[in-house]
Amino acid sequence: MAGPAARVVPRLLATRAGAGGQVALFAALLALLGAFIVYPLARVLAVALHGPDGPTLAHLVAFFARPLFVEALGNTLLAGAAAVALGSVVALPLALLVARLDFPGRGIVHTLAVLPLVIPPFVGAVAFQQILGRSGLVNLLLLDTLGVAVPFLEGLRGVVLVQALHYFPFILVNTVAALQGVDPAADEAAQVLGCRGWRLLRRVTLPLAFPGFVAGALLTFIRVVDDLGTPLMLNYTKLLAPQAYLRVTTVGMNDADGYVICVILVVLSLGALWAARRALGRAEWATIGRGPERVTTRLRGGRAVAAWAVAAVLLAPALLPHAGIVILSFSKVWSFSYLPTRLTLDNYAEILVRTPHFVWNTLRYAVLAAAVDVVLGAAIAWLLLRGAVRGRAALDAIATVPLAIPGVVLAIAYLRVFHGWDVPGIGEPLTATWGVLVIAYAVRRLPYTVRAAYATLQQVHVSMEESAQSLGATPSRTARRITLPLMTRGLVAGGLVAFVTSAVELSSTILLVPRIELGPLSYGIYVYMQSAMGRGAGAALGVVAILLVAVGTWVVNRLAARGVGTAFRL
Amino acid sequence: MASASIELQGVGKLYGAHWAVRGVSLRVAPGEFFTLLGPSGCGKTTVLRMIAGFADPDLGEIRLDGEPVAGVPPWRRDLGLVFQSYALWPHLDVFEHVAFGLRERRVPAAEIRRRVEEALALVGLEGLEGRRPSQLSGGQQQRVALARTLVVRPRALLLDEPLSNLDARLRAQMRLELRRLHQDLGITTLYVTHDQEEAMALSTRVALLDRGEVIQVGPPADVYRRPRTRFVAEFLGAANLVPGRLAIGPGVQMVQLRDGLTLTVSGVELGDGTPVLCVVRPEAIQRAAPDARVPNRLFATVESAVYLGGRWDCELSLAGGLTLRAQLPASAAGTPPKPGELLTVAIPPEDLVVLPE
Repeated sequence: MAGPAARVVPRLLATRAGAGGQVALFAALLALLGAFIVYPLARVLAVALHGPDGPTLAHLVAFFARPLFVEALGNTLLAGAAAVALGSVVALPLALLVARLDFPGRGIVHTLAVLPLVIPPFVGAVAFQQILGRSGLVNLLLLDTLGVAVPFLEGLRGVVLVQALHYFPFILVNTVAALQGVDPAADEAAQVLGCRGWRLLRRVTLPLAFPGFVAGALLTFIRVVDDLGTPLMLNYTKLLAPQAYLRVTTVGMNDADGYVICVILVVLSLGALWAARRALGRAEWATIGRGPERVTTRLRGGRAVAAWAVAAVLLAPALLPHAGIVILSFSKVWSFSYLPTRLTLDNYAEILVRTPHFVWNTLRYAVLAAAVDVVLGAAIAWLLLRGAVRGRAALDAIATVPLAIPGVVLAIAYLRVFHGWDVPGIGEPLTATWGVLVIAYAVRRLPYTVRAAYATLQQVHVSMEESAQSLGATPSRTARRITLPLMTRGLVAGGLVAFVTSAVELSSTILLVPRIELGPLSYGIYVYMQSAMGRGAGAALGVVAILLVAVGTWVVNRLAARGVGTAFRL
Repeated sequence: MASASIELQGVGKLYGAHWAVRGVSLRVAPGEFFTLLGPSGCGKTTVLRMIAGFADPDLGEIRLDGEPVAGVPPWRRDLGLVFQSYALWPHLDVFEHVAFGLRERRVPAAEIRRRVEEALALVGLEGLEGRRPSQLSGGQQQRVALARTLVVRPRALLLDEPLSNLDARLRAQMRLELRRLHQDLGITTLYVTHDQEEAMALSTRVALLDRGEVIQVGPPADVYRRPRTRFVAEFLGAANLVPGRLAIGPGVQMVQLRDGLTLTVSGVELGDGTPVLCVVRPEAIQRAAPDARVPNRLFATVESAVYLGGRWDCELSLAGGLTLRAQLPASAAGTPPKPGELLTVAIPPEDLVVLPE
């Protein structure tokens, strides 16, 4: 009796799109993801767990025997926790302000609150130094008035401060989404029972928004663990990511310690990602049955001003330093003075005329990576939602993995796998070409486009395609006339997120840039910032990065039309 | 417009280990308005999708115009399919919706323009060519879906619960329009619904489906008056089902109910003593004078009476604890039935259907 049952799937395929084509697409995608995600990571794991006499835990044990590494691990966990705590202090009041209160200019506050995220973190690090550094604006003021200086940015404290003020929007965006997803009737039901004000907040509103907050906090944690640029910029290396970088760049590619650090980094990120997914899974019940209107309390007059004041106090530390980067980009000399003493356009001339390749390379790599991601994302989403190939869920799983792979780890894996192997037809290894940067960017941002494509394709009901087919359109014509046009907005939005985040990617870039003239903008900033003379030009590149990212993010939010910060939700 | 016949022969469809459709054999004649009626999950939509080509039967054969269609993809079947959700495309305006199938058929531009106009006039949507689906009301969206399908002159029209997303008034109006369209165009129409009123108002014939099987086929009035099973009796219209035992004497057929009541019936082809169910339609119960000499005269107490405009929906209790729902006509002259009142009613034997239990 296996006959009829076994026939169902193949015949369905035959009428839909041709089983052969689907299987071929599936196999090609699996091979691609296998070659550039699974295999390199497996090699890292293999090196970390392999001794001269086969499998061993010796490297792992050795890691925990080295005080420096143990300290780096502790510092990484501490930095993650501290950045989340500090970020929450900023993000939670803002989230309540934006999601639960209505006052003139609420939208502006919301947008401003997401802004820190669009500025690359290492650019932020430079900006912070100009304002809060040893000879920055604030300390000069303190020295002149009180005769003391506060080492805001020294050591781990500086890293945590910069990261918290940079990544808190993750917490904000996810908490706001959760708050807005809570059925207003849940609040109203409590109010009817006599619960209001702070009690309402504590007993009903916040518990319901908690899963969103947890997801945001864990995303922040993942980013902090992943962040290589900020510690390097602030010259603090007792963290895991910088340690991995240093091992590989100083000791070499064959040092097992670097790989062990990579494995630990991945374990930390995977754990956080898994926990975030679980938290959001629990959030499902919070969104059951939502009413047409959100409950918001309207504020007028003095209370609206108070809301603005709270927002200003919370946002100023995160936003002001970035004004510093703009000023720095126009300054000839800004050293041991409140503000620059001489202004100039030379810095822009430097980056646009003398070394235009940094900007040009960035555009080239990021556009290519985004294009690759859009195509792969659309194909994977289509197979997942419309396909019938067994095992296609594996594609989804593999395409999600990069979310939890720190850039340093991916870079080290690529160096390991592709270094000694010449690409046929080119005659040099992949790691000697700029292609490796495009591939790394594409892999790191693939989860964004897969999710964007999946979400838009989900909106396209199958009956929309079926009605086209019953009107005589073949599957390929249906894809061209119905499915793809309906997916365009989502694909463009996903591609832009990939473009924007690739344009400011530093953690994998630092290791993978083959030669300085092949480096993108983020690498240029890193190089310029190494010398005092280059800081102006580095800042000018930073301004270009900020503009790129700001414009891209603005367009994404327009396209997605689902409010501020859609691109940064889990 | 060429109208095709639709034939199904022993069609079965497996979902996992469960037959969603089994042994369905039907023939829809050219030009007929045929309805598949049944509760949700009875397999009616699956039958429709197999005819349209979006699912393949695991057993049996489907023929359009006498030609088997196994292996013919949906886009070559030349059938019109209207979805419950309408399946309009958010990125196309009304004109492009209606022109879609014509463009697929490489119809010249001038003719497309003419035929789109005709089709829009047919469904009363003139002047809305430039609107997007989001700018249309539910009723208008429904008309776009119809126009888009009809404009390509399909061999047959397949409608999947097309009215279920409309409000009650619009539903009644669209029902009339569907009837008019069918009469004007004479196109073979296969209609899927769970709404018995729609089925009865529209169809030349209906097929009742239950758990994937066809239970009864016939003109709506026949099926209503002569249900073959308890499921049909209950699904099509309201029915009192009264258990009893058949008693056949010379020239007389009776059903003995519990507690000594008997009902005279006619035309039953079952043996003496068979346990049966008596189907009593609420409107078959009529008021009678207390001394009238009519068969099946019963004395009842009014338990409740709900005014439905034009008629009273009453719950009557009979001697022996039997309760019956009755619909009594409300006339200005007659006195309204009151709870507690004693009433004499009669049921004409020809209105009683007897089913084997």
